[in-house]
Amino acid sequence: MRLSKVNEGEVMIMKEFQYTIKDPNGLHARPAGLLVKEAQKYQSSVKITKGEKSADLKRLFAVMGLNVKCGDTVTITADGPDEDQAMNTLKEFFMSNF
Amino acid sequence: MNLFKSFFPRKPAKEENVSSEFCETIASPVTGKVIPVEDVSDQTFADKVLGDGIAVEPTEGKVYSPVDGEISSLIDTFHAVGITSAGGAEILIHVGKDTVELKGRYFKSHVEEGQKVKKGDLLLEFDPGSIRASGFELTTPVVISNYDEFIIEKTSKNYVTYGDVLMILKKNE
Repeated sequence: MRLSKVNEGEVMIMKEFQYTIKDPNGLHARPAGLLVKEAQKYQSSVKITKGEKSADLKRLFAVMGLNVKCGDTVTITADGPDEDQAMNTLKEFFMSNF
Repeated sequence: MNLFKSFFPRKPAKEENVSSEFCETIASPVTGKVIPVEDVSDQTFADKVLGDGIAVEPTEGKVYSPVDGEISSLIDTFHAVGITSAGGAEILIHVGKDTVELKGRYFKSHVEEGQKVKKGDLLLEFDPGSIRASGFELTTPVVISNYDEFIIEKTSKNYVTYGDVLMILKKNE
């Protein structure tokens, strides 16, 4: 869990997890599409971060633009009403697909 | 028989009440037989997980830009390329099924990520004979990944040459 400052005096709590990609092909088009579809099921805003770059996990082109390869560690964050559920399902999804 | 039709065969119908400035034409990036995306053997594409569009069974190994836009993502095995059009359409062209397994063999790229392209620019080249001989299908889906933002009109042609109109997108208000 990370605390990040949004506005002065206002602190936002969001959920996150890290995952290191094991699929030799990385996060290529087809699995990326499935991942995005999964993320779209949630109301919460879901992001994927690799190094300095961050992308909306609900947008295929944003995710593909990160060029996530085998061995890369990504951080997934969710923020919103169903963030816990989103985290659990997405974690599961990463473990069984990548 | 409508006589007027034969007298004025090419007269366009009255202007549709759709503003043309929100229309964007997606040209076919490849030459070949048109296949409804729902019929593609790659289930992920048939289910439109990656977007809605049309597939083409290529007869030659060249992929041209379908629009004026920018290369948003280029898979490093050069079997797929993503282009964002000037009108905001995110177009994914995926050459073949499971071709990621070829790890770039028989594929060549002429562009880089972030590069601006014009409609008709050569993006990728591939060797159809060798890829098919290696046991891969070459059906190439051309899909709009942010399709919920548009109304897509698809070509009714059975065969397209690269540059032919493949789809027309209208902004979904």
